[in-house]
Amino acid sequence: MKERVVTFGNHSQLTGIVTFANIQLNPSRFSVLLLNPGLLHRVGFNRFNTDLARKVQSKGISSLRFDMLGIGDSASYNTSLPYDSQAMIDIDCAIDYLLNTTSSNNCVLIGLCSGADYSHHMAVNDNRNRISGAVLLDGFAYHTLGYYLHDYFPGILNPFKILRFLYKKIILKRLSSMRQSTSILQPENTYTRTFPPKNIVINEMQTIINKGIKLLYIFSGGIPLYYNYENQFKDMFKSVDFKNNVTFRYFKEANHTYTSITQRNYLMQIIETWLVSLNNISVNI
Amino acid sequence: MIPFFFGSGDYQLFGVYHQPEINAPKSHSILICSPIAHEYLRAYRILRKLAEQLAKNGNHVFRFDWYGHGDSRGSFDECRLSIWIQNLISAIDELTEYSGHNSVSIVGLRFGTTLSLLASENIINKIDHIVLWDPLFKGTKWIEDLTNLHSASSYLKSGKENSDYIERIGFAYSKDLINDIKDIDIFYFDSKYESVNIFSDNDTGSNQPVFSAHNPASFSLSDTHIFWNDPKSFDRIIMFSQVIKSISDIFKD
Repeated sequence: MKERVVTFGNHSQLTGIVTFANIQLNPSRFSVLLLNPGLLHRVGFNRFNTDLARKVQSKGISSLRFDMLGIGDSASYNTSLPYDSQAMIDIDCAIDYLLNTTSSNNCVLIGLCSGADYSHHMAVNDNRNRISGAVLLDGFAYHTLGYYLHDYFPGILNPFKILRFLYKKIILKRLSSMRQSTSILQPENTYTRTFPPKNIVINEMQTIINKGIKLLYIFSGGIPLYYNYENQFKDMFKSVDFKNNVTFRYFKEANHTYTSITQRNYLMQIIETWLVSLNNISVNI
Repeated sequence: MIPFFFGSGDYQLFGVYHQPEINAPKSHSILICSPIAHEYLRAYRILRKLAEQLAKNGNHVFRFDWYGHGDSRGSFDECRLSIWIQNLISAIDELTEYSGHNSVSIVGLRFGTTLSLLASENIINKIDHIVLWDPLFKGTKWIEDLTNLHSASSYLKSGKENSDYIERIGFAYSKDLINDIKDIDIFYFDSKYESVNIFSDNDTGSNQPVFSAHNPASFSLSDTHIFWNDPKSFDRIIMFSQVIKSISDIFKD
């Protein structure tokens, strides 16, 4: 396995690791760009990015895992640009660097949480055909009728759940308004996020699909405030014509950062299989 | 800041050297030893900040990923104490090569403190000063805390246990590593170094070892607490700690 520490971008401010494909294999036409999950450095949640990079190199796929400005080993973020705009510049720069270094035609973006959001925006805005796919982990999510049914219906016949519902909605709400910090009131590992308006995301998703970019959406059980059943993805985006370019999965048993080894291994297997299928390489899993 | 791989083959490690930013009258060579497993991920950001602060004060600083962590080679289930201790000794060699000094100071955090103390027994002549941040002295306590934290998480209750490894907070501890860790009991600390400083929250402070009479160790409770064993925050990144300033003051001449 060949890996190289690299610095690139303006004044070499960005730091990353390129994992080169096993050269004994037919190298893939695409490479993989692994994004920071939130503020976590490039190795990813529970070292997922490092493990995935090393796994797919043996399938002929090269990758770059890197830190955006202000994260991990890249330079501090001190530009006048809003953070999200700077992040898009960093990713744009990383794509060029990855394609040049690995001589691939295009790349697949893989990101969790804010990394998924950036992947979406990059796929919409890239006009140079540099992106052939994206894996979005816990990306944009919107409530549907099914969401509310799954959230409330199981409690209708259960008095304990009704009591818990009342406790959450009335007592905790009052308590939280009385306190500055609500951390002790929040369920374990529940993340709160803000998403763009649904109609905009639907239009942008259609744009991405029309470009021929393949999409793999995976949602975990760790974002119950936004996503809580298997087919919610289909219900959220039923007006989008997927054109067979979209795959989605729901890992109900996983938390947001896939702490469980079983869930993480399963996630890795799904992504690896999907990547290999993009490359039309047969693999036994 | 210079990131690079060092070591060779299957034991290649990732490290970052921070050059001194000013010409200090007396610069130190400081090796930062990070925690292991899930705590390594939580502490990466804060240890980089510490390294930068120390370099800003004119010190040579080196931090690295243990075997089976981050960008270093290996997987966690292959890790053993002996490998990590060897990593630490290799990291000291890298640092002294850059700084030109013959000896180093070590700043350890959590399990990094344990490894620093264990490794230092073999390299006494190379160590000037040792700083222990939220130290761990008893292996059994670490395993116990880890197990409690793991069982407290609703997502992890069905953690894998088989004949080869035990899953704790996302990492597969081999039975051999668990046994290695259980054997750790630093109950008497006879320092051969210039001085030892310990920064700790209440949780770990109660487990400090007995210090020998001639040991110039100082013990401080930190103002900001990092809740290492809180099930709500086991995967939260540590953003800030006042301990950084306290540690960098030690190495400011």
